[in-house]
Amino acid sequence: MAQLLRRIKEFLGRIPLLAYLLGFLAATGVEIVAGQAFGLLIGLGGVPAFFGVTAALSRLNMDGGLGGLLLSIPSMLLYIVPALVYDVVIYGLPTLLVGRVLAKPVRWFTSTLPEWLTGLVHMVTLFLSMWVWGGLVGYRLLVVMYIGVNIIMASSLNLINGYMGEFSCGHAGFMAVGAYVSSLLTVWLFTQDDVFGAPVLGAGWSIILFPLILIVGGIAAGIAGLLVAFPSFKTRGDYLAIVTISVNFIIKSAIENIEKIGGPRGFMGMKGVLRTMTSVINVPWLLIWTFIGVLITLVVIHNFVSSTKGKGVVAIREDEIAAELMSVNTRHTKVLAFTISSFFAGVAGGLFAHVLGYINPSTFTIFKSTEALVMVYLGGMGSLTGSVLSAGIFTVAMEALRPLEVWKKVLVWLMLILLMMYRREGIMGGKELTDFISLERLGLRRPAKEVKGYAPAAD
Amino acid sequence: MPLLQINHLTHFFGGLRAVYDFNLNLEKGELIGLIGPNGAGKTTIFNLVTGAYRPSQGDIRLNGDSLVGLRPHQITAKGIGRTFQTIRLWNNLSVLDNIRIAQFAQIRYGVVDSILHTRRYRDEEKEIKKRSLELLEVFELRHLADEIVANLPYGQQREVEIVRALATKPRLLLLDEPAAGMNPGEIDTLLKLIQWIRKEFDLTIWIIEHQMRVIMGICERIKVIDFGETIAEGTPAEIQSNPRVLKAYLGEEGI
Ligand SMILES: Nc1ncnc2c1ncn2[C@@H]1O[C@H](COP(=O)(O)OP(=O)(O)OP(=O)(O)O)[C@@H](O)[C@H]1O
Ligand SMILES: [Mg+2]
Repeated sequence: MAQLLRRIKEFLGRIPLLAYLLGFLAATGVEIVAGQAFGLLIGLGGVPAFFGVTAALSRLNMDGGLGGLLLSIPSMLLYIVPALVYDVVIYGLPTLLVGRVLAKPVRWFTSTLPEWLTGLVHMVTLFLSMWVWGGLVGYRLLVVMYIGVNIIMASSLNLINGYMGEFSCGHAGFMAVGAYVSSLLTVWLFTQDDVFGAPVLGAGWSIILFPLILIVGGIAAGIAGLLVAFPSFKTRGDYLAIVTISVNFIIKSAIENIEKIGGPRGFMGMKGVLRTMTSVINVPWLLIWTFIGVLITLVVIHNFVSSTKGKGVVAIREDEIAAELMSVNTRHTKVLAFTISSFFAGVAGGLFAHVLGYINPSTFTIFKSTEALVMVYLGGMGSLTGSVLSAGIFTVAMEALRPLEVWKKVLVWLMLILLMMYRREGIMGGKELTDFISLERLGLRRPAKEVKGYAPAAD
Repeated sequence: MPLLQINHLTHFFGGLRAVYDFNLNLEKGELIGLIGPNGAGKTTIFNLVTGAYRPSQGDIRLNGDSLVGLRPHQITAKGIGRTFQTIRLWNNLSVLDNIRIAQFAQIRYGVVDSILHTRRYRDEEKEIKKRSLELLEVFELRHLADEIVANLPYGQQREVEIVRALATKPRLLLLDEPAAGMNPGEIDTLLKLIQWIRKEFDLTIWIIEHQMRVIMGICERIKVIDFGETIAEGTPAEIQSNPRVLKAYLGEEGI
């Protein structure tokens, strides 16, 4: 058994990341061609939206009391079997097969490219596979974009809670600032709206200005971040946590009290913005910008915290007084950390608002902040790859478990309790994914000069 | 002009007078000691000099510039490095990172440089890393550069803390009970090390010690305080026979 597992691990380890991505892209191709027919054939009634998980869970009878629930379990199991067959045949086999076949050529191909170009090729492939996979069922695309938004939320909050060791629980407040500022701008500039009237600029501007407006939303949120940064000079720990909660409430109430932008009823019109954008060039703009937004967030935070300047943030977590006495300008560093963190929360908010098409103040309460917290702790404090993983897992779980209705929440929070009891350090335990699987093995970095062909097998 | 000039330094914690009318002229290149019984106010004086506390009264000048009111990192950047009585390293970071971060004040690049990895950023980071490794090399700690500080034995942590203080490029080095928790053999090595870095880095050194015999051999001049007040000052030999000092230490086996 152990022997078998090792062989499997070895087999999977030989395939570079890019080959997996290409394999998955091929699998989505298979799904487009054969998914519908195959799904009907094995009794799934078509293409399952979410690997069959949601559909399987929706077989459960949630309204018939305990008896009803128990009686509905066989029907769920009956669905799971063909769903598994579907996943293996449509996704698993093509991915592994194509991945295995392409492993060698891919290693050769990437070895001829400079590293940044290799990275870009990975990104484009990942984007294409998400686009194709998501394009087949509209709901998937939505979930992919939620994941993106949540990755930005989790990794930006990680800068404060993980790297700097402060406990911020008001991240959604900054998200709200970004969401409202960017939505108001896009709706005012590019759509016919009850509040703002006719569009101010021609449709062509929308595709150019959209990313800039996201940045403006981020900047507004970054400025709001100073509401926490300045108090952080004087107070820390639990007390600063209270400050962040208050800031979250202040922002929410402030928006609620501005009648012009809908007050508590909320604000909409962002779907119109997207229609304007696609009317100019018909590509999935939001997916593109979410994708780029995630990339930029990760690169910025990673580069910042690995610079000597940014490591000042970690020194503050480890011993703030020693940091200040050992030449770290702690105030400056805190302002930087809070501004960068809330800037990205604002960008996430802008994307989120346009994905949803409608926002209202109660979207951005402390509950939303808590979700971001959960993702940070689930992934592991001070681990960016952990935040990426946990944002993916958390978002998918929240969507896939929807059929469980109220029980979904119970289950998710129960998981959190267990996590805090048995693995407080989170999935990654403060390490990065690259500490377990080397970049060379993933095929993202060229192996050292002496080694020819495959990357060395030992990590 | 003396390197460090302290005039009428007084500090209260609420009603407690921790330091009273402390005066000192420290010439460049000197190696002096500050001793006194538990709670005498020694660490408080270091905290006042490095800006951790703002003095209730008095003046502290480095090369004639007043330090009062400056924030600690500014004072460190002006050339005062220190270690702590109980080790205060950044425990979950590597030895190298501990040394790198202590060069924060030397950074000239901005956040944007660090995000875009501009040439300026790369040059400066290379320089910082090179200097850190050189420093570790000098102390024969280079092989531990990637080790997490918390995993090092106590003695090595003490050394790393001294290296970290040196990384801030001090002209004046304050050592707060560097020999605490060491056995006589280790203390000997430490004292040699202190004399050596004084020459090698062209430093002025001020050591706090609880037990006088530890620093008797290396200090040119010793000040003794008790309950915040200076009770004696002079060469080790003078101090040893001073009746006020003996009285302050009466009942303590330290002297
Ligand atoms: N932050 C503080 N707040 C209140 N009182 C303090 C503070 N720091 C020190 N003290 C008090 O000031 C007095 C001097 O303390 P200090 O730490 O300077 O003594 P010390 O000479 O370094 O003693 P030791 O040899 O034990 O290290 C003590 O009575 C101590 O309790
Ligand atoms: Mg002390």
